[in-house]
Formats: sequence, C-alpha cells, structure tokens
Amino acid sequence: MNEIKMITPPELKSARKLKPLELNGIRIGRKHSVLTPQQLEEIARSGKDSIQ
Amino acid sequence: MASDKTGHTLISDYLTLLGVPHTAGYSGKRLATMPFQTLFGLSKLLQEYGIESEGYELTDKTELLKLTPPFLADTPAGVVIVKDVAPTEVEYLSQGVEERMDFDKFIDAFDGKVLLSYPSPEASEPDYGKHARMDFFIRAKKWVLLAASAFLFLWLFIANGLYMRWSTVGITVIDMAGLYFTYLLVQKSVKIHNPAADRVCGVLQAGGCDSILKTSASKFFGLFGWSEVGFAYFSVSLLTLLLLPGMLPWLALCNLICLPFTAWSIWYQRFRAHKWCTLCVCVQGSLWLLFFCYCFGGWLGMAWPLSPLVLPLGAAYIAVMLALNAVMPLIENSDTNNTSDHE
Repeated sequence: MNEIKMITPPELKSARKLKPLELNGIRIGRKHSVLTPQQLEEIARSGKDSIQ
Repeated sequence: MASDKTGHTLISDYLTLLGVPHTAGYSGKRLATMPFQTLFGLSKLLQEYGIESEGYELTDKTELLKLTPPFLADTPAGVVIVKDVAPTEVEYLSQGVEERMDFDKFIDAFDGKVLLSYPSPEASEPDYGKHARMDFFIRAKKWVLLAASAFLFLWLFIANGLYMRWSTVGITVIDMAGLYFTYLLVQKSVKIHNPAADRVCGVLQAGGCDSILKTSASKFFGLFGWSEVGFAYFSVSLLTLLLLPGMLPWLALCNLICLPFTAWSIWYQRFRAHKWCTLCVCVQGSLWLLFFCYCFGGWLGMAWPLSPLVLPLGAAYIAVMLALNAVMPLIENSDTNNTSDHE
C-alpha cells in the first residue's frame, strides 16, 4: 500500500461549499459504463446545444 | 453500485489513490450497503476510515488546477476520480479504467462539483488487519483449489498412462481447450463480462459471439443453451478420460454422434445469421480434432460391438447438462442482483 496522501484544503476564490443536502443530490450509485473522453465531450456538446 | 465486474469499486480506487489501507472486499461491501448512494453517503463512509471530506461547487472551473488530486468530480453521466490535473490535460479513473482528456474539454463536461478528501495520518479501514487476513485466505482458497485440481489432473494423466499415446495426449489437450471455449460461451450467455472472451470473439468478427448467442438457434429447442450442452460434453469427456480411460471407445462414439451438429452450426452462422461466432467455431473445430484423434488413434474402431457401458456415459452427459441448466438461472440472477443491489 502507498503512503497516505496528505491533502490540505485549497484556497478557492470562486468556490461555494456544498451543503449536505446538495451533496446528497449527487448520486454515485448510477450504473453506467466507463465514461470515456469521447462520451464526456458528447455530453458537453449536448449540454451546450440544449442551452442554445 | 459504482463498480464494474472486474472488482473495481469507486471507494476502493479512491482509497488506493489516497494511500489509505483498505481491503477491496470490506470497502466494496460497505459502499454497496450504505444508506445514501450519494456523495453525502460516501463522505460519511469515508469518515469511518479517518478521512474528512467536503464538497465544493466551482463557479470558475479553471480552479480545478488548484485542487490536489485525487478528488471526485461530478459530470452529468456520473462521478469520476481525478488522478492528476495539469493545464493541458486531466487524468481520471472511470469504473477502474484510466482515461486522459484535454483540460478544456474536461471542464466543459464537468459540472463544477467536486468532493475533496483529507485523510488523517492514521487513516485506515476499521479492523483492517482482520479484513486483510480474511481477504488473503479467501484468495488463497482459489489458489489451493487450482493447485489441488492441477495435481489431481497430473496424477491421473500419468497414473493412467494417458501420456503414453499421442492420441490420448491430443484428446486431453483438446478436451481442455473445448472446456475453456464453452466456459467462455457460458459466461457470455449469462452476460458475465470476460475480456478474454471478447478478445477471442473479435478474431473472426467483432460482436459475432454476442449476436449468435442472442438468436433462438443458440438454444436447443429453447430449453438448453448450446453453450451448456458443450460445457457438459467437454467436462464429462475430460473427467471420464482421466478417471476411466477404458471408456475411450465410447467417448469416441459419443464424439461421432456430435459431429452433425458442427455442420449445422457452421451452416447456420454462414447462411442464416450471416455472422461468425469465433468461440462457436472453435468448439466445432475442437470436436473435429477430437474425431481425428479418436479415429486415427484406433479408439473409434474399438467401439463395436456396443457395450452397456455406453449407457452410464450417456446418462452422465445428460445429468451434467441438466444440472448446469438448473444452475444457470441462479448464476444469472445472482449476477443481476449483485449489479442492482449496488445501484
């Protein structure tokens, strides 16, 4: 096993801390296949198209 | 669950990258049974490991560069583990698979929400020592089984003189190959993913195996999958050869009876389905190679006159095939339940 990574909280200017309820809205149990870069690009494109 | 069939889970991959001692079995089970299958639930679970976490939404997504990996990033299609971030490229893990993407394209796809985790210096899985020992013994069981089976196989192969004749060596090897091919086919038919099967299937035609297995012709009168029939055939043939080599002439006879099936299978793939199932073709090839060994080894000639011994051999083939057919739905359901429980 590797050494434990010591991570310090970052100093973020534009970030907003998520409340527990908001964190609870982000599901990790969704069954999905491997998210390839191509799939992520397509998601980004379809997101932009729907906004337009 | 956030896992794939090769055993990777989101929590196991994340803990590995954080360098926190853990076992895949315990952490996977805790992930599957946590009440909230969300980043909130995960953050609570990570607390049990001595890891505090907090979630942020980045309005300016370029601030991703200020974060120390590993961390979790949300996208509309699911959560990924970011392993490394550079101004040009993001490296991430999705379902245990490493991917790389241009930084600009990643921040386009990513929705701005991240979970950052801060392991304490003593962070570790609860009762890690106990779980690690259990994990070791569980893995050891498999190796002990393999070693015992290999020893038994070699013992019988040598003690029964099967090594002395080219035909019996050939029959042994081909039976083992046929068993392996039909094992891969059985896995495919219950939708158990096996990269080895995909590699073999891709030789003649990509996706051919899956296409053929979906046709009604893949089942014998709709009752038995041909993969089960094949697996039963090769397993009983191999065991009979090892334990009762005197039955060789009747094994030869049973092989002869199977040959017309090979012609039908090839005809069906070529002229009806217009798709080639590489694994199926390998099985047909194995049956023909067996025939040549039985025939030129002189075993087929010894099958006449017929002996009553052919009856228990036939019964063994049928019994194993029926037993496998009875077990198959349980394997399929067990795999489905594992997948749906984890959602």
